[in-house]
Amino acid sequence: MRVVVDPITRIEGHLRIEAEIDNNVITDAYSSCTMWRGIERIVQGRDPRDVWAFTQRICGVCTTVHAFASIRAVEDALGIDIPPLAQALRNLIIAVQYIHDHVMHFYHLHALDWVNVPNALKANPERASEIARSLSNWPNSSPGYFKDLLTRLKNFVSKGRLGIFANAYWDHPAYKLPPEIDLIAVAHYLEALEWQRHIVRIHTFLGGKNPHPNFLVGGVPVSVNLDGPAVINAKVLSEIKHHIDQAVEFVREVYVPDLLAIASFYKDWAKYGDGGGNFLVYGEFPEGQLYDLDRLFFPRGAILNHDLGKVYEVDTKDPEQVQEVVAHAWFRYSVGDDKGLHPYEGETEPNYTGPEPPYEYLNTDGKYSWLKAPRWRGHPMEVGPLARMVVAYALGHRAVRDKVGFALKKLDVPVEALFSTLGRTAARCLETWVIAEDYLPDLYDRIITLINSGNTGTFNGEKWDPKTWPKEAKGMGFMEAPRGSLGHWVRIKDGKIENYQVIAPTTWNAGPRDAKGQPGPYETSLIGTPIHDPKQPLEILRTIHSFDPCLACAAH
Amino acid sequence: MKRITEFITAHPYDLPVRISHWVMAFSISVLMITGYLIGNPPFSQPGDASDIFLMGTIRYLHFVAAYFLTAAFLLRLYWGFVGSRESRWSEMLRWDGRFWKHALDEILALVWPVRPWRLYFGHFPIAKIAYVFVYLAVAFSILSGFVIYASAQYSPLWRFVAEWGLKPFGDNLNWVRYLHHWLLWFFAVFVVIHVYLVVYMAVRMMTSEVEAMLGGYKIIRREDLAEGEEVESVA
Amino acid sequence: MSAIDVLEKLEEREIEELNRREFFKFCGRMAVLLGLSQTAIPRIARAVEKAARDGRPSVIWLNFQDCAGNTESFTRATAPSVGEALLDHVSLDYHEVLMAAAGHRAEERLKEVLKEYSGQIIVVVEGAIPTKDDGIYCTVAGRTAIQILKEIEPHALAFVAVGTCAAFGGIPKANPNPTGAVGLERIIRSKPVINVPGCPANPDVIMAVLVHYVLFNRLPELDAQRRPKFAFGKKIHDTCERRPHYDAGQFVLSFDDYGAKQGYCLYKVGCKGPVTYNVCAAWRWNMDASWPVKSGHPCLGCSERDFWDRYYPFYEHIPKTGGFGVEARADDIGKVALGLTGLTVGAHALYTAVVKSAERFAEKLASKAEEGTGESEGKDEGGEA
Ligand code: HEM
Ligand code: HEM
Ligand code: NFV
Ligand code: SF4
Ligand code: SF4
Ligand code: F3S
Ligand SMILES: [Mg+2]
Repeated sequence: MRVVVDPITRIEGHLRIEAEIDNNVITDAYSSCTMWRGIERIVQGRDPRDVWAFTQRICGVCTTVHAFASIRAVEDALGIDIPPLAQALRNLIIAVQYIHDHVMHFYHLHALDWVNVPNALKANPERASEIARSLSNWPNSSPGYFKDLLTRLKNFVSKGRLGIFANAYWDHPAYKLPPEIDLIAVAHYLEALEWQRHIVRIHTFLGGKNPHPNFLVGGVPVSVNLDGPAVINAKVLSEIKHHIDQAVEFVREVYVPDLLAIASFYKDWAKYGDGGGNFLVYGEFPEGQLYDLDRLFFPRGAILNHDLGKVYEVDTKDPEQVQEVVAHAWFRYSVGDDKGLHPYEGETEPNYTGPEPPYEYLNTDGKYSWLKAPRWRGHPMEVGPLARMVVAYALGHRAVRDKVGFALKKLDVPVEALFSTLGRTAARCLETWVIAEDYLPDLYDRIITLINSGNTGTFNGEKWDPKTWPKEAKGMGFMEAPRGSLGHWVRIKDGKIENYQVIAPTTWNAGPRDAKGQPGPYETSLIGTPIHDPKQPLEILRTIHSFDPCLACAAH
Repeated sequence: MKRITEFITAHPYDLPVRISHWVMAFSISVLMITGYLIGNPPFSQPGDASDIFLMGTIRYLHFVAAYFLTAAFLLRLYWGFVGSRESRWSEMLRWDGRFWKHALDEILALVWPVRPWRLYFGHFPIAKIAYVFVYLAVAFSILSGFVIYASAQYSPLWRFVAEWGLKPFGDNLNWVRYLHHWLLWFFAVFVVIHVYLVVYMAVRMMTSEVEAMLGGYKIIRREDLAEGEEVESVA
Repeated sequence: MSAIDVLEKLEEREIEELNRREFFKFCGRMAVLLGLSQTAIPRIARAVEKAARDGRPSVIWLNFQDCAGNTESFTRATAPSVGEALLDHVSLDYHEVLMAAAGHRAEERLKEVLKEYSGQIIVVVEGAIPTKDDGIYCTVAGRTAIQILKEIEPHALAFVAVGTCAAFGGIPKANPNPTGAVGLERIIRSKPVINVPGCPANPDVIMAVLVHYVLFNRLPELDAQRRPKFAFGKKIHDTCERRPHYDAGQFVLSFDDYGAKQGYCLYKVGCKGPVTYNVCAAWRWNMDASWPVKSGHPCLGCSERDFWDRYYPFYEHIPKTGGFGVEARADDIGKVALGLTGLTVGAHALYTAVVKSAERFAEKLASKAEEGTGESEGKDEGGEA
């Protein structure tokens, strides 16, 4: 039988899953994105310096990353180096984006797959307090705190208006947490909602607002003047420090302990959700200029078929490596839909062939998604926190090895457990932990050191004027977005965008089949998953959410 | 045997037309200069912003000139319905067959200066066309200018102007600003041609157009008068 | 219940004391915005508390051609915060990004809500609506955005278009508008539409629009573009902290230059504050942290209709115009046109002078010849008809 989940909720964007279920096990699955705007077309003919603002609007959740990929692509094309302080401030924005995005994903998008809100009402506040205190030193853990929360929840529920919590699969037997842990998680759901407003202020100081802070080709728009009233001065720097401390503390005392506690009840989910075992990472946090590839904090590389013994080199500009296929996507290629195109030669020509709405099922034998299918050397690849942790682990990254090792030991599972729904959700948390403890504080110190040593330049304007540009240029901006490897490929001609192609992390993960019929990672990850009740496909949500889908990114 | 030269005294431009012309000429000059500076502000020396008001002063002048321009324009608009025949819109817009013949005449005389140059009681034919566009441009600059101006005023009346004045521009204030800005160059080009032709005529034909615009009267040799110009308007 | 009672009641609740304070700050701001005196604060607080006690209005939030930026923005609201709002002020009965239910269960929920609260629902819409090719560029559960909206329209009390996409079409509508995207006001005809533009809309404005309804049981007053007057009555430029530098003529000429370090005005690097209505300068972003211009970047005019095409380019005060060889600014073209005009009239003057003196010379020759023949008749310029 075919089960359709549309809308997949608690994600960004419009995702539809159609799954074939036989004997309560998924035998085949199709992932479809049902919205497209055409931003690759919209930026054509525009000024390359402006384009970051357009591409940024691809997504308001990972709201910084398309702007970064865009300015990096343009800087690569035009040969612009940026000052060290600008690079460090950019890295600060990226690090904060990771922490913000991952925490919000865990609590607000993913948690309700594991945490049962009505069940929390049965909790004993004293017991909850005891458990919370055993898990971490987070101060909001008194019995009174949980008691108040319980009252507030009961109050809320008693009116019979459950709002966003209404009508979920709350009676599903796959919910396994004791009520006290459910209550703690609900508390942290609300606290995280509160907390996130604070730490994004770092983006606001540096970019003027969040969502959609401002960026600049050649550097960052803010200036540093310790004696100035209007720009980055000691007051702003100390506020930034304050929020960094808040971020680190929340990750260490709330997110990591919660993840480990919840995961320990769901270890069976280490068996399901393997996305195929191919992982791709472009790399992130440049210490020098972007293309100093061996000076990236998260290393670049690819892994095939779960083999941690071999990490392949990745070249995003090699026409043979990264390609997109539209055999099952609602697009048309001038060279034929069965061919792959490297993004420098990429085409975006919509060609809807699906059923006329309203429809019940897609024709999954034909084209069925607004996502192209990206391939690396012909392989579907999983990208994202799991890919980053796996590649860094395989390359012996110290901090990653420590933290991944700690978690595996704590949960008492082998390394192979990573290739799963549970592993993916855990990897996201561990990555956040690595950034919060092993990267962010050092980065802040580096920023202060740079300023102290008089390195206060934030903008390189040598190539600002289009007259300094070559007649034709092309460049590639890569980045590790929270959801995985993101690339923007740009061609510039006569000072204008000639062609622009984006492959977002979720394009990699959620993409449809290719010309050879190879399914994408979402599709692969669902196959073999048992479904307790096809009317309540909670299992599908768990695995799909573990990828942290963002369909606005994917389709753009 | 020498021909007797007959002179005609014409009184084409009433006082309101003359006043409005010179107020417009002056205010548009100020608006062009200040408008250019608003769009391309000169960088001033560092210093405490509270001590300097350069941009503010330029804008102030722009707005004062804008009010003068508006007043002059309204006066001219009105006078076009009640004034002397030569100052009426009906005359300005009388683009009939004879008019086009005169226009062709004028063009040929400019292209081939040996050709005789004809005179008129009122405006020259090509100039009439130009003036219609100038007045349209003036109207447009006033309209767009006041929409921009209103957008920074917060009394209910001005808010009304700002909100509804924006409608014809697709609710897009920046678009209004661009159009307002581009108008500057229309005026600049017009003024150069206009002043040149006025001076050209004065030199080539020793006409008294400028005096006419200043004092109201011009003296025309009957034989220079264009064919078909009606004599009854002679003062 | 007196104001003191309310205050005491509130103080009893030890949860998030800070938020309470923020809450009162918010009520104060609401009072100012809505033109009420400070004595109205307890009344506002009471109304909010009342809404928390009995029926919260039903809000459903629909996402179409969007980026979820307004949803994210909504979660950054200050007072009330989104957590408080969801628990105490409104009943968010449908929101794909946040709701627990999925798939058929989500659809089912939507139908229930439409039935149960028909006529009282505030429908928030985020994202543009594609109209080209029968709207197949955005579907949810097999139905197009237009089909969904048409089904909901009869049940709505009012629509709130959050963000420039929903209000005016926003980025999907930017040239060449590949999907025929439009703003909500082009689809909804029978119910009021409140536009809350911004890319994204300012969180406190979104919240204030909802809270306005909770407080006063009516919609805020709108301007000619259907924007709430309390938020879109002033331009960025007229509330900007860099404004004294504008009036002084002190400008940033290039990023990170001397002027940038002093916080000079960003007009010359393309600031669209003079032509943009929004609250950024007055309310700022993310709990007063900053706002675009304060952080050194020109305002893009992101709350204005068609700003992607008509507030463009972002770093120029006046657009460059293609087709003139090297890109030229309107002013460069104007100067060239002016120069050419000058040259033309100069050339014409010279030309006339030459032709005229040649004519005079010829006349002289002719009159000499005439003298020779003894014939004499006064010849006048233009003597032949
Ligand atoms: C011949 C007539 C005029 C010319 C050539 C002219 C020219 C200009 C120019 C070039 C600008 C700068 C625009 C920019 O780049 O931002 C400007 C600004 C402006 N003009 Fe005019 N203008 C004229 C008449 C008017 C009138 C009649 C008004 C009526 C009030 C007006 C009001 C304004 C305003 C409000 C601004 C914006 C100034 C600011 O707020 O900084 N202008 N004008
Ligand atoms: C900003 C500068 C100027 C503008 C916008 C302007 C505009 C105009 C307009 C609209 C008219 C038509 C009058 C009517 O019937 O309403 C006109 C006529 C005239 N202007 Fe100007 N003017 C300018 C400067 C000057 C100057 C500097 C002179 C003298 C040197 C001048 C001399 C004349 C004369 C002689 C006429 C009558 C010409 C005819 O009959 O065609 N103008 N001008
Ligand atoms: N997929 C995706 Fe994004 C991310 N992270 C980015 O490129 O979410 Ni909106
Ligand atoms: S208005 Fe801006 S933030 Fe809102 S959905 Fe559109 S692109 Fe995203
Ligand atoms: S920075 Fe922008 S909004 Fe502020 S004064 Fe200058 S032009 Fe106006
Ligand atoms: S860009 Fe937008 S966020 Fe505010 S300062 Fe300008 S309106
Ligand atoms: Mg793409």
